[in-house]
Amino acid sequence: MAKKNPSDLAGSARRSWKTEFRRDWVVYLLFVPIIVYEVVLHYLPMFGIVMAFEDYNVIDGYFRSPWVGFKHFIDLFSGEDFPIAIRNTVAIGLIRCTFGFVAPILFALMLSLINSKKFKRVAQTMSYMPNFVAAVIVCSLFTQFLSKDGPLTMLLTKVFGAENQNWFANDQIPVFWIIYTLMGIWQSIGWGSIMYVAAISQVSGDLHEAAALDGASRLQRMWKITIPSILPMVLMMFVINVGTALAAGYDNILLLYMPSTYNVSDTVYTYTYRQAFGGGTTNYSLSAASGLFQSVVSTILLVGSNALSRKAAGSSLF
Amino acid sequence: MSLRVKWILLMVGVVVMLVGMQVYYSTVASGGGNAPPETTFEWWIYSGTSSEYYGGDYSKNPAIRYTLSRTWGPENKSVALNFLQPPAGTESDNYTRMIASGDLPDIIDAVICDPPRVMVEQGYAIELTDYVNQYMPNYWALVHSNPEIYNNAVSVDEDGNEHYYSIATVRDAYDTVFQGFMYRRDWIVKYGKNASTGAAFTGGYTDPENVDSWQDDVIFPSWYDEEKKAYALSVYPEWDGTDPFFVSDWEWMFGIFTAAQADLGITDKYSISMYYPGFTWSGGLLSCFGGGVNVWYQDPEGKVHFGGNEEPFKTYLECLHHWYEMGWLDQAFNQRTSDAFYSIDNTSVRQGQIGMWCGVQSELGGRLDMHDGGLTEGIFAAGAAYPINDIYGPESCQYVVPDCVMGSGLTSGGILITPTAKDKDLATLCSYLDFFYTDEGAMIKTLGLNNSQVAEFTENTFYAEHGLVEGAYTLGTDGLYHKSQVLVNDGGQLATAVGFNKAPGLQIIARLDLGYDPTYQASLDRWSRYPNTGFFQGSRTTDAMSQEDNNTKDPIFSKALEYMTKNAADFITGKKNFGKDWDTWCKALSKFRLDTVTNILQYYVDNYPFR
Repeated sequence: MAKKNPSDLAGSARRSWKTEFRRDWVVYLLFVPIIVYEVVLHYLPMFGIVMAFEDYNVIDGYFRSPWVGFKHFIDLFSGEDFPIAIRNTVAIGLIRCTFGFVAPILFALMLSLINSKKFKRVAQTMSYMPNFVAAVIVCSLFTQFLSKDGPLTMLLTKVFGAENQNWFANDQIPVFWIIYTLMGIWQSIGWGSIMYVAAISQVSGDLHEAAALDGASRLQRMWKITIPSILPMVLMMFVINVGTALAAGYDNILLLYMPSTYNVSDTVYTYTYRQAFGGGTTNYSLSAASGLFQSVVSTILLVGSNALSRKAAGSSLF
Repeated sequence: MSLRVKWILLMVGVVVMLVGMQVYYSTVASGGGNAPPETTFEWWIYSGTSSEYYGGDYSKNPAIRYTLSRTWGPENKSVALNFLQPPAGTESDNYTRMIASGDLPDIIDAVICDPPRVMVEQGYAIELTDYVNQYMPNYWALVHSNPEIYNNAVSVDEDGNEHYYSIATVRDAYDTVFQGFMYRRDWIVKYGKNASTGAAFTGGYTDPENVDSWQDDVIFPSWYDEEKKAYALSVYPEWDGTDPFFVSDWEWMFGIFTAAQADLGITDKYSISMYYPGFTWSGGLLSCFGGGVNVWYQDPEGKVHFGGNEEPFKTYLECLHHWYEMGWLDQAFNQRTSDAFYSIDNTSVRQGQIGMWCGVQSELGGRLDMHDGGLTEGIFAAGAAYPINDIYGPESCQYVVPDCVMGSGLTSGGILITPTAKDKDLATLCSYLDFFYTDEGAMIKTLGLNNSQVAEFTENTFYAEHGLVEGAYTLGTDGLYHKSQVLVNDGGQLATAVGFNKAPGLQIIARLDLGYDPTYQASLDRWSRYPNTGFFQGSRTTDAMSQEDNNTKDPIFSKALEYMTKNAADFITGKKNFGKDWDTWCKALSKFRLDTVTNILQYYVDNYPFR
């Protein structure tokens, strides 16, 4: 194969996008549905943000509903329970971003250390299963298991001497936060580990072989070879996790919390849900205001964590 | 597996999926296929069509087919109805999609929609005044026969003009309610003693095959207290001491239930369950401690109050706190958040471990008996009326009849006609619907066809297939309509499958003998002993509210209710102290601009009374 002249490469770099489009129009054509999808389903609906600044009603629509400015934001932020909801959201988000984030990585690393392919496949398949169980069923199972006479409660009481109680009715910090995080880990540990398992499988076997010949133990190889190799992927996932920490997965709390535990379980999501749709009312504008607030904070967190990742490890999502 | 086989399997899968989607989403069923387009109407129905009998195809309902076999209106036209019935569990979503898309059928079942006037103002329905006046003489006459029906079916503007925005279902009497408090009377017989003589009670089933054939000699303690007895008889002259009347009677029962549970080895249970925040704001038990509810209600003088910071609600909480302290009240009541108010801790109830609970008709009598030698063996659940408070709180909260209770009104639901139908022959449609306000049509709606109609309607095989060749009812010499014994004995939904109960019309209550045993009927009657005169949420009063007033009321209502939902249980469990924390409670509630809502609601109570 003839080597390309460096001047040719420079020339190709200077080629206009029109030339490229003429040459690769089929590839661009394939991209059209994606653009349409993004524009129609993700960018055009952003216009709905306007609801947050209106007293929106379905009949008047976006254009005729009365404009109220920041009224709904003021209503949201001035609610007596809003600070508690913020505190709980941040706390649960932090716990999920630490324990919840690390668990699938550890699981993937442990899987990588298993020699028996059959056992590894079975373990992986079993770990994926909870991800496909509906949230209602998962919540119902945990509610039963952790009720006053549930099997997990019995275990905690009889083996560890914990107080016999309905654990979801416990309003002490941080009981609910921990249970909720553990529930999330159980449900998503297998599914969340897929990316890491794939990344680990890409690590060159030669490196491991060479290290083994040099006398490195399995733990040392994992520490010195596997983890550094998957670090960019880990950082990328961390950035994404931080970005969604404020908003994702809180719908399960609606199925688990109760008025007596609002002080530890109420999040911005559930608080908004009650304010906007509770008590027979339907306040789309308040819901939109809360959604916008959460999106702005999530975007700041995403950009911040991305910058932090770039600065600390030289690797970032964008 | 070869690639070809995989492709075939994939195609089969896709076809099955598409067919499934078609079945799921298109449940349009039609009846009366010979009608011209102008008298063919699409009718969205909410639920309750006994699909177990005709698989969601409501047009197969024999009563509907019978009525559509006739001609209607000034021009004697046939009418056809295409029913749109959402799959069970998706009714609300289906309705929201229908409204949001603007793709409206001709007729909407007015079950979950906004108030009719609002629906007309919003353009989802059309005003029917002219059609009612011209083509619905029977409906018009019924509406004008009773002030309560008139108030709820007609909207009168400031100039005194009548407006009909919907066609309501009308009842000739108050219906029984589907739920209420019930208690294990068999435990009272077995473990209780007569408060006057100290003798043990006797009683039991007279017919082992009949779950309602119960007889006993139980007399409640307040019957022997002359003052209480005199009061009770002044309120309810038919009272004979055989059912609990006062809170003290309930507490007497709780003592017996506790003894029964101890004897039967039932541990960690309770005498009575309670809805999870500690109250039901629509009324009921909390109205028994001086009247009213803990949200807005009207007193006997028509004055609107917010009851959350008033003495009756405090008294109610004090009573429940006492019950909680005594171990009578479910200690986990505020944790059962996913239980419906009429089905709390249903597992324990159905295992026969609970003495008193709020349940439904199908739990009355011996219907919970599993005949397995367990705790339900020999159970007899009797309905209890709301009790009159004779113990707790100040005098003003004692010996007061509850005035905010869940109960039936003389009107309900009905239908709305949408702008989609405005160019169709509404004269014929209204004439057809008016038929259901005649005696004949009312019986077809309420129960179904009689023997002569069954004989006349030869296409109908449904009645014969289900043993109803003599029809769904007969007219007795006592002037009452008697439900067929086949329907009385049916444990399923056959009774709703043979009548056209989704039609607006006159629902017969007063002139109907449903064939219930006396003990069963007595339980239903106790649940409806006290009429609702104070709770107006969801009635014509609040239906008449303008959008602007609703927008003011709703957020305040939500916030006040949320505060009470979060904190009321603490008074019951003792985490909050009545002496120290009640003032804080009242101050917290006063921050919600309650007076603003009180003033708004006072206007509507004055101008749009629901009774």
